[in-house]
Amino acid sequence: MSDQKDLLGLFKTVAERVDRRSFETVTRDSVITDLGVDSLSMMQIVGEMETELNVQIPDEDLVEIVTVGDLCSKVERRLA
Amino acid sequence: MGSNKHEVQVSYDVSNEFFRLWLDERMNYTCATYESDNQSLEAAQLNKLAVLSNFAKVTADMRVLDIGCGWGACLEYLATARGVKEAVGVTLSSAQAAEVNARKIPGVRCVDSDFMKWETDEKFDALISICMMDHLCSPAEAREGKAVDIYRAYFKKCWELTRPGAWFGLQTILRNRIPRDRKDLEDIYFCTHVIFPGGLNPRLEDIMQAVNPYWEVITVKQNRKDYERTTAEWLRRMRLHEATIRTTWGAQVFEDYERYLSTCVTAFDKFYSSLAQYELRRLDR
Repeated sequence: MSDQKDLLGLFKTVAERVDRRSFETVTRDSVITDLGVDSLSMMQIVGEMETELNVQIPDEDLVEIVTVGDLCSKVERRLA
Repeated sequence: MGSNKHEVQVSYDVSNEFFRLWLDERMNYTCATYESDNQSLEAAQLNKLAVLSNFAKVTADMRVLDIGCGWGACLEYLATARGVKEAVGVTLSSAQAAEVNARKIPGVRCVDSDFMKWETDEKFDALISICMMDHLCSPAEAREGKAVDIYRAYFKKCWELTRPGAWFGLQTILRNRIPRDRKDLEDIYFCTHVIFPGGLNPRLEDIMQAVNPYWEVITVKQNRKDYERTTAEWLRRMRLHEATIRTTWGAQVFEDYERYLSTCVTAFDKFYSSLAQYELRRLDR
């Protein structure tokens, strides 16, 4: 099972691949919209994390995601 | 609320002749119900009308209302194949209403009106509504959490327009899983904003919640692959008329509709969208 650090690291790796820029300073408290990630990139990041971890996040969970930590928590719940 | 008259005109009033080029001969602009691998679009569209009429328990002595009647394919079927006493349609598209009334089909009448604002003392014995609900709630209203209330108001109005003992054959397009792919997201955004502005496909769970306390759900059937096959056939037929469409309505119309229909095929294939048919019984007090 992935711990919190792994998921944050995975988010950074995937976000860098999708948006082609550095996300090195991102923390779990970072607000996703403040990172300049648009909604299309966000869905792509979610999709790549789902594929990487073999989990499916229900669409209704996505509207509740504000911070990177929120996304990690949604994934953690599906991994548990 | 949902699609307004101008937005509906964008979706349906390009030109009746344009749609006639690639829809079936009766101009059904909704999902067909296929019974076999080699069935034609024409036969499958007729079968869809039979399925929904059977869900609505239509018999010859009835007055039947078709909510969102399009170009009148279901009205004509009800009047001719089922021999109903009267088939009344409502559509927000003036071009569709004019087309239906110009055909002067005995026992058929079409009202040019917003269904939710339509004021009438008429009562009906049975209802049919085919893929009209996607015009009820806008994306902005859904984001504000208003979808279930809007759909419930629709089911309430349907209840008020019927007599006790009525049945309702309902068909709705559905939205399922949000794409995780950028191109697919952009294509669906295009369809929502350019081809069907103001509308939003409902979610199945919203409909199941909203139908209470007015209608009892007896049957729900999901026919996602039927809509993939229907839209693929529309796309194939439209491409056969590419030169005519580009000459008559312009390159943009052809390219927009090619992108829209291609997106539909993908959306049904990948479970972004689906299609459901419902057999509903009026809850009488």
